[in-house]
Amino acid sequence: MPLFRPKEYFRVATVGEAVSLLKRFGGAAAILAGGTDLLVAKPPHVEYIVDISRLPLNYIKKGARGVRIGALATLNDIAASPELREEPYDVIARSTWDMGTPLTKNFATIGGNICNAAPSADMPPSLIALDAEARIIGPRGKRRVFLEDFFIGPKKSVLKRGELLAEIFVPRAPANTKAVFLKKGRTSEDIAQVNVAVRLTVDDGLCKAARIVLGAVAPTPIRAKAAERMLEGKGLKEISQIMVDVARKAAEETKPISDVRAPAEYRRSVAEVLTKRALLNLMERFGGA
Amino acid sequence: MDVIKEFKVIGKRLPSHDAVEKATGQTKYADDFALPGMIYGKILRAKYPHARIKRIDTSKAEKLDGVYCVLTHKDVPNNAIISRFGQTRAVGGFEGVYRVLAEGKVRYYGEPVALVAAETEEIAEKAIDLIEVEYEELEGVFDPREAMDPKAPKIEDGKSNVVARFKIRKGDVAKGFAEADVIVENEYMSQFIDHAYLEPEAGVAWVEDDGSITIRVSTQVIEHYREIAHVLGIPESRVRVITPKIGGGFGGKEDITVEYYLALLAWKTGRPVKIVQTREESLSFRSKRHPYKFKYKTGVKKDGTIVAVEAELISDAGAYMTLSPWVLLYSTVNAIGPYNVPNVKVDSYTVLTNHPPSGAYRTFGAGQACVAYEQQMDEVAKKLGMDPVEFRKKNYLKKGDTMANGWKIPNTVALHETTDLVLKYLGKKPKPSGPKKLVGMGIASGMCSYGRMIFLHDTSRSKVRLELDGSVTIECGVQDVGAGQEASLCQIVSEVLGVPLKKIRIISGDTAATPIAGTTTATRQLYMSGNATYLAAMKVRDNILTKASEIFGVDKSELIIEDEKIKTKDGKSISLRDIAVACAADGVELFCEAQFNAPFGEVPDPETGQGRVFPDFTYGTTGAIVEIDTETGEVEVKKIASAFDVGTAINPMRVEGQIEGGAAMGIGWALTEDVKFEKGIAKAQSFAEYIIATAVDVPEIKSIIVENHDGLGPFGARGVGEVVLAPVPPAVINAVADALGKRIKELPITGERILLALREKS
Repeated sequence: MPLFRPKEYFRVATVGEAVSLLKRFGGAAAILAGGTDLLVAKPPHVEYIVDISRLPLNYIKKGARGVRIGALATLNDIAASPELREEPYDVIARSTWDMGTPLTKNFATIGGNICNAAPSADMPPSLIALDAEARIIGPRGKRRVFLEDFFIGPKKSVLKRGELLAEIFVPRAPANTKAVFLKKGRTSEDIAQVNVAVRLTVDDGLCKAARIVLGAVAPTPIRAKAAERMLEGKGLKEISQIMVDVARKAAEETKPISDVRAPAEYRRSVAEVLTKRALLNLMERFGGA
Repeated sequence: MDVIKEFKVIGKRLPSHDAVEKATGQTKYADDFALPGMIYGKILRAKYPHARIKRIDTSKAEKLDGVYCVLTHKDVPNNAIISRFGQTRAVGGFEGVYRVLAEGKVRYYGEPVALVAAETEEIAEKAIDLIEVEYEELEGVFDPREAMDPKAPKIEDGKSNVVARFKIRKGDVAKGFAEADVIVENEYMSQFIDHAYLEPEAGVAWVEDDGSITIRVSTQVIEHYREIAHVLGIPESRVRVITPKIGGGFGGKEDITVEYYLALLAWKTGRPVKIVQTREESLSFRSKRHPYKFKYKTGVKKDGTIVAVEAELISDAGAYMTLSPWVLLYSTVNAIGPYNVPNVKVDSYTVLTNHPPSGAYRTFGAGQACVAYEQQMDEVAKKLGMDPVEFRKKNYLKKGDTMANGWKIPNTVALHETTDLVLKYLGKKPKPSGPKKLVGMGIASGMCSYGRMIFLHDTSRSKVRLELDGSVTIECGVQDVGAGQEASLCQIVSEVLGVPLKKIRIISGDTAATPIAGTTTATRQLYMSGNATYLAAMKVRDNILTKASEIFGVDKSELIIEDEKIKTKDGKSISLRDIAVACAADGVELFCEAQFNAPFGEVPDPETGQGRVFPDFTYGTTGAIVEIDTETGEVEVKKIASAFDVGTAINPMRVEGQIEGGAAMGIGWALTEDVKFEKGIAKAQSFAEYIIATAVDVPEIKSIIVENHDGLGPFGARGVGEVVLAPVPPAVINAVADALGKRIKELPITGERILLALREKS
């Protein structure tokens, strides 16, 4: 493993400064936020480090329209935030639980977990399930992308040269929305073999909206849309009856690979089990089981 | 040992002298050290698991600014050497050739080919990239059974890959099996496991003013200075090895790690040189626990009496022989476990492959054997329809029985007691916590020797000195791997001389400054250096008591030492400080360097394996309760209880620490750890892929200490460092098998293997 000794290190004070450096150096630059991915991966092509850790992007704020989470909020900030205790936002806090040791979580940021674009990342499924959007700042100003569309492949996102993820915006959820996050790793602190977030919005006893988002089972986090459609418009009792089929359908929508962590077949089985358990959990909480 | 009747320090729960220093980050490990003008060494490693080296061109690397030297095998005075392991006696048939740098061909992926020393790590790294090596790839062999085939590629050209084999022949197995009512045959395996110590291999070497070489390196064996001198072609007296506190060893720092490279680079450049291996290097290229393939055949009577065991053991030695024959002998002697079996036939082989050399790893092959024989015990019990605990109890060794190698056990085997204590703690098997859950309970008993094989004629020396103010200095060449090797010696001296621990200082691990105390391996330091230190302290004690008896005019036997005083029965006393001053004035020796010799013996008969191999054993039992999620295959270890007869616990807290550490390590062995070599290349390159149990995964562990006070160590202690691991993996594996009603014979038992087993069952 070669040493990681980039040529230059910049600690930026403003977002503008970060953007101009990122634009100037392009692929030769890497953003350092918590460093828990970058300093482990030590990518050899990186010559410039743009340290954004001092930017004022560490916040979690709840407003009338939703929750804004600064890209520099650490996983432990999220885990402990009073703004993320209420349903369905609690699922965001829950997603941090099995992501490594407390020491790692004091450094690791939500922005880093997203921008690293690992298919197995634990934060994206819950955020996608809540229709979160990524707020991006770049040389041409600001833009917004649904987090669902943010990832384009393993370690690849829609961020263009010079762009920075500044904030995650989670829109205010409709009444009666609940969500759950489940994960399976080899040990409690392992990278996910499979993770899943499921969210249901129920109105008048009928499922108005459903999201099933799975991680580590495809090149990016994916929505199991066919499975979601099976839920929408259904009554709670009916959902309880078709849960197993929905979970099977969700597993069919995955495209897992075999690697050192798990064989593809195992990933698909666990995707089904976790989806079923997530639905069961929501049914119990909605009182429909 | 009956001189001291009531212990004041021995057996007490006392914090170690270096606990605060370690907890606050003050301890200077191998990498926490630098010298002015220090340069950095890097290793060029083979890019193929098996290839002929056609050409090495170092010219471009040599021309790079900041490079001090580039070395290949041609620059090593004695490149091909016979590897020895801190032993003072050469034993034929056990030692193989080891090459410092690859010569002619590379035998494993990552084998060191060349060395660079440069001004900075970056320059050294660049220079490594500039070395051109032309290879001609050769067919590799990665399975020891395939490597045994005479037609398989040869690791050492023209020689068999089978580098050692052992036999045990006790009684008549044919007759035994003829008498058996039930015969059970099975195959088992154990996988490649990494030591995963916190501190990767590291050190600094420099040339002294007189031209001799000093190496400050993380090692379990400072006595490798002899081999280093041999590689350099200089007298042993001109090489000094110092080990600071070691950030974990577990056997991985028993053979040479970076010492040769450090010594060569310092020697050639005249500059201090540092090498710190990366985690990737440590995981991918350093020695691993030997994987084994086992075949077991057990014959039993209907009442559960074992009448015969036949076993075949094959271990993967990797590309160099190093310690593999020793490890294999341990497995062979341990092959039938702590059971009384009249008819035994064991055949064992260790075979070269194109994997990195396998090496020492806590239990040294006894643990792998335990994984096999304890699964087999459960399988036999199941076939008999007998409770596995009752079946074991029927066959446990006891004092006076003979082991498979014909050795008659002279002291307590407390397995009935350890098993009962474990069962009592575990209680009844609990109900599953939910509908898709299964609960299982498993038991395993194990044994491990302490002290080295007796044909090595092992010795240890230690020196104790009473200072003129009544404090004490111990000088002993122990390597402290973190298990309290130093602290135990301090406790022994504190007991013998009545000096409080805070007034005792120990200087350890330096071949030029401390008496040679042998390796910190084989669970031998408390036994060997503990006894040597005890002898030295007792001599000093005798000298000061003699002086005090003159002063008080009473017999020595009338005097007691406690609380830094020598006291008479009628209330008179003299402080240690005053007695030291009095002794010094009269020329009475206030120091002693003592040597302890283990029992000496010879290599067992090669055709029958009959003959004593070890000084003694420690025995014990582990029980585990697991819960399995039948839908995800997840195994949760709910409870572990381990009980061992440790003879005498010098410090119960340290014994518990060892038992807990053994349990955590054993859980990883059973459930998660796997280096996963594919065609000789490790798939696990970091702790994100190589998964060890963390604090969250380790359950409540009940450590149970049994003391029968008849070990060979000081105050009747037995060694505990290795045995505490041995029965843990099979206990967990047996618990999983109990839960599933089916045995998974591949390790580790991952979620996918559990789901597969459940599918096959239904």
